[in-house]
Amino acid sequence: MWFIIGILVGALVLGLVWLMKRNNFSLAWYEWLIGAIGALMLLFTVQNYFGSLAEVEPKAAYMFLLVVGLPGLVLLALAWQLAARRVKKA
Amino acid sequence: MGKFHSSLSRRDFMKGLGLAGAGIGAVAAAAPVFHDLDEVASADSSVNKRPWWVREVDKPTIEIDWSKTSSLPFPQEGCHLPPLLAEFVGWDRVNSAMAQGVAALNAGAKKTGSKEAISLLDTSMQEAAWPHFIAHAGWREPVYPALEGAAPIPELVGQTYTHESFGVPRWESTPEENFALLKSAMRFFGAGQIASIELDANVKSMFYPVDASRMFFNGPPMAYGFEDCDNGYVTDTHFIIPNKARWVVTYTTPMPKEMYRTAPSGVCYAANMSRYRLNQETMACVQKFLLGLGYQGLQSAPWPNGICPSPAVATLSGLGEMDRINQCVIPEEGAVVGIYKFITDLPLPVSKPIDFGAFRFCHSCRKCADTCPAKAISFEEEPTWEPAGPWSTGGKKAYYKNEPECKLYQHSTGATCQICTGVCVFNVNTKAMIHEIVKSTLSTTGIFNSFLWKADVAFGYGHHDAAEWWDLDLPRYGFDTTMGVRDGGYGK
Repeated sequence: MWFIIGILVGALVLGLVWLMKRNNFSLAWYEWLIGAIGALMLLFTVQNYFGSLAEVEPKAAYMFLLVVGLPGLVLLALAWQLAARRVKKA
Repeated sequence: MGKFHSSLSRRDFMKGLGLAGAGIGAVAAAAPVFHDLDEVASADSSVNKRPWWVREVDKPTIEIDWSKTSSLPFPQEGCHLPPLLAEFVGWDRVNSAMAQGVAALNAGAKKTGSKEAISLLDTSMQEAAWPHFIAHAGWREPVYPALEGAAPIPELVGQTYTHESFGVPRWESTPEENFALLKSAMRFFGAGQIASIELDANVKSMFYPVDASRMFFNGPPMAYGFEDCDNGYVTDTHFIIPNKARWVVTYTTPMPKEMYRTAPSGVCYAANMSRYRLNQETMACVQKFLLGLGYQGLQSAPWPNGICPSPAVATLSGLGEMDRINQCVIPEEGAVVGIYKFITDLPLPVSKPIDFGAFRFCHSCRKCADTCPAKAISFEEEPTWEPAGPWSTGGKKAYYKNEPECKLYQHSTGATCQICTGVCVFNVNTKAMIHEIVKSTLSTTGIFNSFLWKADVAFGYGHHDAAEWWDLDLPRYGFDTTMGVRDGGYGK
């Protein structure tokens, strides 16, 4: 699973860098930070969600989606919106 | 000047090469090189390694006052035997609880098509999991009961190749290598974690004055005796230990966590009994292995709970830490383990106690006490020096349990209870990475302990329905045999 996730994350980062070069914009340090924390929280959620389901602990799996996954998504969305609005202004 | 221009001179480059070469040479010289299997066995890496968050400490995390320790005036802590239980609560309550249990079994047996707790299926499972004693560990060597039908063939059933039968000297090596070999052998025979401790005056002070192990089979209680003799033996009244047998090996027999989470149920009872069945095989093999090498492994037989309280020697030897249930919790395996011990004359190193934050965690956590239907587990924040009653051995600052109330409830269920053990926070499985993070956190600091056990409850870890277990696809014997394993690519 981690092999596939690693490839996906690598592809997404490459895609982001490609997008930044094509559209000639860059991310501020705090946007990188918020995005990285959000991505890590999302990866942590994925591991624990599937791990908990394998452990036959479905409630724990759903709690991970709620307690870690949702804030992770919010942080990713925040990083995206911060960058998008800043680029739009400029 | 180009962006990638290097100002490194040839002299610096050659100097760097020389330093790198010297470094690699030093590492190669310091690295272990094995020429044969004997060297592998005696290398440090094969001696008892534990997870990084398990620290060796000089004293156990539970405080002990050896001047106040005393052995019990009766055969067994835990009040397993009804006559012992009756001493504390009277035969009326014991008979009433047991009649309640039989009624629960009879009522449950009528649920012939059900998978739920205390049903025919569930109860059949608990009965099947008992040891059946085709061969079992004796005091010093395996015992082969007479079989019906054709006489057993000694060459096949009771064959024992030993150093004596080969006419060679017995195995001699360092205590460390002996431990490494014993650990490898015991893992193969079915044991989990292993530790060793010296049979010193402190450990002897915890010996039961009489051993109840034979009372489970309507035999008489037995006492222990020490003698200057070569081999341990059994008389009508005593298990005799040679004075040269100066080591106690403590070890775990893992049990299925998923089954324990269904407590109280026959499925949980089956898991509980499986450790006795598995231990018979493990210990019979250990005894033959040691006899082959020229040594002996002495264990109260045929029931292995004798000699002294298992959690006590397990804690002293660093197998685990004491907990709120007043049992021993193991870093790698949690609370769902059978803990046994045997005495041996094979020279072994003395393991140190360990601290992985478990006893400290129990100061904050009350999950077992909250879920105990008999309210037999302490709710106090701090452990105490005062035993809960005459059924407990004193001399330790512990969370004492009301054993009679615990056992009365167990008898009344028609199966076993063990809810406390099943729901313990240390019983988590290993697939989700959060568990490793939590274990390493609570080993390092106690400030999150209260939050962590509440999070454990909020995330739904703990009890499961007995019927669910039948739909699971679990490993052989129902437990993960790779727990605490480091080699072969099996370790987690």
